[in-house]
Amino acid sequence: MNISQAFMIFAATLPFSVSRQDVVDGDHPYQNPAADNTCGGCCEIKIK
Amino acid sequence: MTSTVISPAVLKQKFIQSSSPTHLGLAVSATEQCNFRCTYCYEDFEIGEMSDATYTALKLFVAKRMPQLKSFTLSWFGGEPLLALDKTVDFTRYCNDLAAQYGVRMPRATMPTNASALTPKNLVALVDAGVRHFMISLDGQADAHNQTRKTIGGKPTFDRVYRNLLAVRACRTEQPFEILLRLHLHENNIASQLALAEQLSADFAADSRFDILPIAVGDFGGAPVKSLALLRSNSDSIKGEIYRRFGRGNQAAAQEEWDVCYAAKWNHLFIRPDGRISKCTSALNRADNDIGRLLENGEIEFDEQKALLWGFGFQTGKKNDLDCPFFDKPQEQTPIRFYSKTTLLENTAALEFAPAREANNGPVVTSAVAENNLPVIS
Repeated sequence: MNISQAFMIFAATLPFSVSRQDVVDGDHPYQNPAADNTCGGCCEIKIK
Repeated sequence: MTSTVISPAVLKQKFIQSSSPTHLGLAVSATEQCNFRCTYCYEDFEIGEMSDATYTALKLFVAKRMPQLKSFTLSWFGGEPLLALDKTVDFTRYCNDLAAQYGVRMPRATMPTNASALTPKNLVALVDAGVRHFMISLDGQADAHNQTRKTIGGKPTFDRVYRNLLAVRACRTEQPFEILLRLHLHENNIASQLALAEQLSADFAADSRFDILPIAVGDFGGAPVKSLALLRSNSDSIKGEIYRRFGRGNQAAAQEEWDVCYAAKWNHLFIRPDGRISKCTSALNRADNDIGRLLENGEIEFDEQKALLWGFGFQTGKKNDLDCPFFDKPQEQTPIRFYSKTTLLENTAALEFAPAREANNGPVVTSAVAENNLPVIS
């Protein structure tokens, strides 16, 4: 999961500016497990 | 389908969170075998339990990554995870121990299960190991449930599942756990689900460890679901009535902050029992979901281009594309545009993203972005 050249090429296609340092410094918030359930219908939950 | 466009500020925040190298999210399937054959299931059950060699490689992978992390999440998937109970308990405990050792935040692990083997003994083992959020599907009361959720031999399952639910309700574990009852809806089980909501209200509503979540059955592929009458009625009013009969709403869902699908996250991987690495847990047999594999030494080898394509919603900024890069477009060739909005990448343009069209369907790379007059990576 290093920040590769391919990743940064992808990042440069996004509709906002993001640097390698932004990603390195980025943190991941605590996640409510119920909001991230992996099972077929979870997608439906989010879409409806 | 219309779609909300996410503001660039929120999009950037979600992208950074979804890409942070200090976070790793894993969905792990220790087996794709299942003792049920639900009539709408999209899985083919061709892969058995994870081999010891793959399991060892998975542990090595996590052991190498954990020291670099600030947070780690684990979600079990299947098949039926309880058919590989030893591995699910052992791996969850292993991850929790490693997380504690390196000071990594690891919220409770989650597990969808058909609950046929969720006895108090098994529940206690899982909760002690760190699996503390369970998702269990009910398709109505016995009459309706047994029509769609059958054993592999075609036998009914409701009584056994409900008996286990009542038994685990009596469990007082050292650590708290939650059970989310997913009430699957289709056209032919609405009345039965409404009746079930009243039954659940009497049996579980007073216990805050239990929640319900009515959801419509969706077509995630495979032949069996084609014969099911998917919900055409107003699902919002049905869901509202189910909550009313249960006596309370879904507490977790009410607190839920919008997030992108894990398949769109760069720092989330789905590990299958044969060591293959995927992004999406629904598109199991799509070539573009087969992004890599776990190596025996605990390293991973994967196709970055394929992996990045699942995050195309960050390019479009459309909520639908980030909610699910797969749903509602399983047969559609989703256009992916790789272009550079600066000149920074012109020299590397051809290196990584030569247009690659998958043989079947799904995200593809197209080269033309003429309307923006931008340099095209092709």
